Amino acid sequence: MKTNKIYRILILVLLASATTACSDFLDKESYSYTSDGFYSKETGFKDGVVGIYPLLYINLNWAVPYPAVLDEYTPMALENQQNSTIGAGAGLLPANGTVSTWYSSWYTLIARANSVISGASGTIGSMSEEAKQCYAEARVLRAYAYYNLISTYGDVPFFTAPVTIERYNDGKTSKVDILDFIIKEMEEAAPDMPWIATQRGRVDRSVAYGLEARAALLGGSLNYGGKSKYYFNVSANSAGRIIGKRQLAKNFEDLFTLAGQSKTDVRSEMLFELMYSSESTRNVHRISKGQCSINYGSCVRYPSSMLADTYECKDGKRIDESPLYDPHHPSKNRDLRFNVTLRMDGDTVQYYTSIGTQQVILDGYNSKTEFYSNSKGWYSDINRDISGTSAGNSFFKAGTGYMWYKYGADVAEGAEQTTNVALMRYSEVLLTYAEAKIELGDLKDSVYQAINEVRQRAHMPVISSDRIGNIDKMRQLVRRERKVELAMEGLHFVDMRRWGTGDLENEHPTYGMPIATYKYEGLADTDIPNFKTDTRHDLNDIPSYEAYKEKLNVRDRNRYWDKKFNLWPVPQTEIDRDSNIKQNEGY
Amino acid sequence: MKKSKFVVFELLGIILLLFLIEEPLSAQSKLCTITVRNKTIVQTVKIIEKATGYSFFYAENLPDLTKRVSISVKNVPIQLLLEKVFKGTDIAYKIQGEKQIVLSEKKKEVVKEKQLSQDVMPMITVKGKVTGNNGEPLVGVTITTPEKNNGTITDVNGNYSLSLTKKTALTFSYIGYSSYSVNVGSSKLLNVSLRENSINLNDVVVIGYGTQKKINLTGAVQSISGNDITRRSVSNVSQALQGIVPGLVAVQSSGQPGADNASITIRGIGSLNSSTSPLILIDGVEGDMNRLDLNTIESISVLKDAASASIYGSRASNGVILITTKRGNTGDFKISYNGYVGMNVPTCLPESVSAIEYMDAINLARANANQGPLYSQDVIDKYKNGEVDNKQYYDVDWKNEILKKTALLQNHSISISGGSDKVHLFACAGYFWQDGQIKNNNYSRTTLRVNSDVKLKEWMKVGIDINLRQAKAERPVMGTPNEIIGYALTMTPLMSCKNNDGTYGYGYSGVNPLAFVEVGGTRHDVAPEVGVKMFVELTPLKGLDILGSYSYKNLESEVDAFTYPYDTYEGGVYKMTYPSWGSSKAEQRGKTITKQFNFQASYEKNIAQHYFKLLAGMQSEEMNYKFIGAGRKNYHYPEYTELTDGDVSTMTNSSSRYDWALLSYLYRLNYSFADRYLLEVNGRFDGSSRFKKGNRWGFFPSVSAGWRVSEEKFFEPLRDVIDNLKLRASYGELGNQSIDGYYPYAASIGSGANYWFDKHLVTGVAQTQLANDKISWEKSKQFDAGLDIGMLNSHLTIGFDYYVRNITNMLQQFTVPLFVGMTSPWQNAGSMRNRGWDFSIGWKDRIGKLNYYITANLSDVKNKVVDLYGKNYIGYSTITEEGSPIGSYYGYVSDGYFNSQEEIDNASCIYGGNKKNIKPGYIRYKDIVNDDPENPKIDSKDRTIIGNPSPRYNYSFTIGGDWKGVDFSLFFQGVGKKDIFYSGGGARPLISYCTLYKHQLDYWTPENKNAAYPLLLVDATGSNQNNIVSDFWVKSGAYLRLKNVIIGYTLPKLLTSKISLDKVRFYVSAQNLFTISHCLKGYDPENSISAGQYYPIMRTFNFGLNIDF
Repeated sequence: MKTNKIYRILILVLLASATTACSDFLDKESYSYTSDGFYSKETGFKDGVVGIYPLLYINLNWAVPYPAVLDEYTPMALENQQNSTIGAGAGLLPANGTVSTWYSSWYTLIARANSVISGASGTIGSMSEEAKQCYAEARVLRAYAYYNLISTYGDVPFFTAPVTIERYNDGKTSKVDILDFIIKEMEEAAPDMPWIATQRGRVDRSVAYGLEARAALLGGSLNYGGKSKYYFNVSANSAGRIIGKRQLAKNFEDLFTLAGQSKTDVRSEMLFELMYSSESTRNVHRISKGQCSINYGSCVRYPSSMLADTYECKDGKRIDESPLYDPHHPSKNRDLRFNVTLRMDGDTVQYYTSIGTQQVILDGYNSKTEFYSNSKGWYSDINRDISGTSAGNSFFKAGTGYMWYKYGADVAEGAEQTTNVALMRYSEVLLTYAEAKIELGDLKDSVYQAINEVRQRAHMPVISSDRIGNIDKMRQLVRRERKVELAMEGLHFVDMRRWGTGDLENEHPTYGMPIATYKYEGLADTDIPNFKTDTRHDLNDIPSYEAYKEKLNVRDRNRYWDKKFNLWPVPQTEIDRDSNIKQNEGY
Repeated sequence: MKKSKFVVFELLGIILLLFLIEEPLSAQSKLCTITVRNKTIVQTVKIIEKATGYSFFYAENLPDLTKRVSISVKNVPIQLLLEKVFKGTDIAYKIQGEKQIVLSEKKKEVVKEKQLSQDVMPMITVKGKVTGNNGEPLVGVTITTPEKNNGTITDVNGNYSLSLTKKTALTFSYIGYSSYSVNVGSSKLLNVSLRENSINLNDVVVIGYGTQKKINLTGAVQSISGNDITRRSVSNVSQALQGIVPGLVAVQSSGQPGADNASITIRGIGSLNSSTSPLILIDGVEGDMNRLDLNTIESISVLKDAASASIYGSRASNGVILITTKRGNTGDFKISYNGYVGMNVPTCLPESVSAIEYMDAINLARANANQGPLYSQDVIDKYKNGEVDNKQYYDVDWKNEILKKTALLQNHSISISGGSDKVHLFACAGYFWQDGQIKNNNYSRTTLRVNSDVKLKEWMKVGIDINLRQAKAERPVMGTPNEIIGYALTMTPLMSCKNNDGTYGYGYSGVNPLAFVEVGGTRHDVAPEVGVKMFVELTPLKGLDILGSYSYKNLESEVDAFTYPYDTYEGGVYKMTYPSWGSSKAEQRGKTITKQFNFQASYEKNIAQHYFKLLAGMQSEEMNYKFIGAGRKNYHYPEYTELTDGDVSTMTNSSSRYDWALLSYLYRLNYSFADRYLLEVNGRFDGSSRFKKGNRWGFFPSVSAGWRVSEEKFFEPLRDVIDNLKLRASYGELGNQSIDGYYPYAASIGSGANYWFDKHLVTGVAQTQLANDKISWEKSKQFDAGLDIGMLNSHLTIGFDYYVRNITNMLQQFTVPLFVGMTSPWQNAGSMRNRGWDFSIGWKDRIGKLNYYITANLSDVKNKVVDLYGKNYIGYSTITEEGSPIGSYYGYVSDGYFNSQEEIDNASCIYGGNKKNIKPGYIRYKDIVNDDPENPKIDSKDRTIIGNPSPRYNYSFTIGGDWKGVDFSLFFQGVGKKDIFYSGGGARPLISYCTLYKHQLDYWTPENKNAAYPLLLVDATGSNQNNIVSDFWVKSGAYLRLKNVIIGYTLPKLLTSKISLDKVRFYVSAQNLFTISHCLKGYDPENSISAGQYYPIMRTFNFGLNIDF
């Protein structure tokens, strides 16, 4: 009995002792890196800079890289659902998802850049050259984000360090101040980077100056702070510094194909790209997936006639002025870039199938068309752009009769492509240089040279003598070049607003190809768009189809322009969360 | 090393406990020489039976049977022995006949036979038999006369005989049964049948870390028996809880096999961001109740108020559900089988239009937007002429192609229960299988539970519980079942499904749900679980109870998915292979190990009318989670699908892990005086690894009191009507720490922010969330006042509770402006309040041979956000702001349609501003805030609260009973008030490339101005102004549904005993038989419809069988 009691006591003591747990039982550490001082050390810092880049893949729409989506917010490009095209329907609303995604994506990038930059700011001086280069990259990326914000939203909240709680109620900062910041940052950061990055995809000195030029051009065109001239000067100066450091690709079409992009001349022209890859886990985009013929894909995005009609004829003349233009065959005798960018009725395109590459002749009118396969040769089959239940979405029926072809030539990859997507090209730098100089009235030889370089690469004649020395005619040409050279690359989104041409471009419904009663053959020889309704239309190459509009397909009947469209609305969420942020005027 | 020290102590303690065994029992001796030490009455009685040859007869629910006695007598007469045994108990004994002893409850009124007045000559002798519900004789029933000078009790056969001096009334009373009074007429034979009483004073309810007599409860605790859970034959516990506990809201929002459990909230939504679901404990260990076989459940206790729950401290702020599994009892082993087979049919589905209707609608919608027709008359005519060939022209009824008409399910469960004096065993093996509503989708659950108790010593009991479970789910790899059903319900009839040559159609840009379910591959989810619990219970002293337990649970999850691409064709033309990246394989392994150690001691003592009980304990809990995943692509041989068969250059892998720990100390003190005044004080200290040192520990106290008014002297006159009346009140504090993320105090930099420089993936890192190292517990304070009434011999029972729950120091991530660019940090701020009441009423009676019962529950809770520091959370369609219920729907207020151009022209302003953009048939919105009379406009300021998604007035009622072996019950359940906001494809016609439904053809036209839907328009992006968030799309979610109907039949005993079976019962049951609601047509009011992607709720028909032998 005695031992029994001892046992019982022993058990109690043991159990009780088990209850006195170690105090560190509750100390559980996260398996992630802690942020304390992480970026102040070189390795962490460099990985942190890499971590900013993936935020460039902003997905506004179905894994289509944003440059291709942005031009749909101008009349140069259309969405099949007409009311989401700007000015055609309800327009942009503060609650619109795109409005919010575009805004918050850039601020996410800025926040990431700010935490890396702030984290390393104390120790960067003692780091390697390579780290300093990364530091400069982070500053360029942050400035690039701010450029996209001010060009879209005007004045926006502005932070150069992680946002602390005291600043959650901050209002907007003037776009002028932000532009000045971009310029200053690029001036400081650029020298720390090489002219061409050793790792493709990283930003480099050319991008820094290119961005400075692009941003300053915006400030100049919109006369930020009444300092128009200053900004044009900055723009021309920055762009000018890149001239000679990079070069144009030999062939325009190489820029948009996988094979072409592997060439060194294309690498040189591509200042800044969104990187895609077929390696290991792959990183793909779907830029062409939604802009094919229904005969082999789907179609939701289309170029406009306004864009197609801006391409000159081979003689360097606008279609209303060139004897080479044939309204029955609009694609004949045109600028080479027309065929790299667009396809239309009568063109043959290749496409990929499980049994190899096939071809189809695009036909805008007949319910059957010709196909080619290696096994069958040419054969006739149902033309699904015209017949069948999905035909209503084809670029013939819902678009203007033109099909996007830029980035579309790589058929082997099917819908999921790995071509890099251009964010900044050397040809833009040349045209920016020229435009800034023209706006300054400084028509030096270098201006003509810059434009000629771009035109000649596309096998277009050099600037005609009647333009030499004529500011207006040069302004007209440089704007035309930007449209045709950089179509679908997201730049017209800002250009339209810089040039103030929104009202002209949205003045009429969208006109397409001739209706079936006429077809292209049935048009009169004189059924050519009129670019000369007035000098503004002429200057900006805005066509009018008024004279023969009843012969044309029409969509976007309610197209209109409101000057508020020059800026996007601030997302409703942001205004809900920070009452000091005021909505842009008109929204 | 820092963790191991603690574990060593735990194990050491347990191992030692297992090996410390005392010397054998001091044994029995001759007639009436007995030594019993600290044994229960039941045990003592058994010893006496063995030693003396007497047989005892008693009702199993006699009081004090579990009371422990110690006796040592030598050569004493039996009477003396019995006197000693039952001294101080409420048990009366009577020696009858040769060797029979009848035990009954002591009552003051009972007059022993020897006290019978012998001077009065007996006039009548009444004889008879007293039986129970099922005709079984009741032993020890007390029979008294009003004069209280006469009485007797029944013998072992239920027979009695009583001599009366005059005609009088006899009252038959028996513990656990309603007493029954009858006037003695001339008849000398009086057979009486007594009814079981619904309120048993000795009913015990499981509460935190122990049990409590139901009558002594001071908190709001609801107990449900296992029978109530199994009776409805639903697939999981959470569904079975729906509607049966007032204040507990269970919403089943999906019918997907294996994912059809209901989400549970007790007394309203208890947190903004932290968990809102109650703590679920299975035999004291946290677990998932939906993984249990329902047949293993003995009882479920729902602890609703803070006082009952606060012993669980930081994890109990949303209430606690305690599930106790069955254990074996002394007695013959019983085997029972419980099983059913059944079938599922969706409760309702929307009906899509045909191809012709669709094309007409699209053309009309385009015309409404001044656009030309999309489908030419030519094409439409082809359809009208029957030229649908499934090659060029398609007219697909997607719902028909994808969804099955019915799907089967079955459940089988077999259990063994019983034991000897020293070893008790309960074992249950169960199998549940349910087929999905789409192909390639099913779920099965195999469970085995063994609960064993071994009495090593009189003062020491050990137990080992083993729980094994295997859940398997299969579903198509491509698309979740919700997405696939969403496609089936929203894809347009013109999209190609299966071509006439057997190839798959191009569907929606390659997405073909039929190919998904038929050839796309299967994802296998396997979740094996092993749980072991060991415990040791010691009673070294009378009243002292010590319990140590340790449990270990390993829950694994395995995913194995191989994607087979398929080719799509349309019009005979190859379109694409989907998915375009070809074949791929993904494997994932997750492992969660939970360890819990528990040590507690309680001591109770009666001193005169005072009763004390003190409980103190500690508990530690630790969880470790690890995950690893890997994948490859490009499999050249589709029959070889091992991970390593794939293209080596495409291999990927990922991993994650986290740990979490909680350490707690707890106590409880109970005091009662004369079972009339009850007091309970609880407290718990909790420390959580989720918070940093300094903010880590929280203290959660509570107090509750009860007053059994019906026990008071002054209440005696009323006791005939009201036999039980108790008032309760409680107040307590609880915590909540269950937020996303295990290290919310630390700002961390995560990997995975990689980029493709030079087309090679380069590692990048990023911080994505801000952190706050000062965060600590969220607190919830609850006051509860309640009332329990039993009336008319407990035929009628009523329960009512009122409560106020204040949630403070809320853990929240105040939304930060988008420009902050990171997810906001957690902080403790703000408060909200839930105010509500629970009411239940029940009636139980008998008409002839029909026993019946009616119960009804009604509860309401009103949530109000009190303080958010002036901030708010505005989501797409909801707002959480001060003064309003959490997550209220928020949007514009509609005001019918614009019925004419004139109305548009005359409107002071319209949404969007530009009157040219709209036309008659558009929804008209109200300009609520008119802050600029010069320039009226409808903008974001005109949004307001347009509905409350939280259900109010949850109610249910049950009618059930039995009659000659037939049992039945009807269970109705419903919600009195609730709003549902519908959005996305399906709910809105022609939005986001979706089709429209037949009922949506009731759109606005100049001839149909009272249409259910506005002017028909195509809206690809959902930005059309008719589709903005407005009350137009808010419908009432109130409903009443016949949740469950059961009709069963138990074969007569005579028949079953012939085939050596104890019981055989057949039944049919139906779930969700009919529903009355006003929600959007084609949708179930309980289903959560997320942009048309959902798994329908099922109507279930089951055929079941129970056999006991």
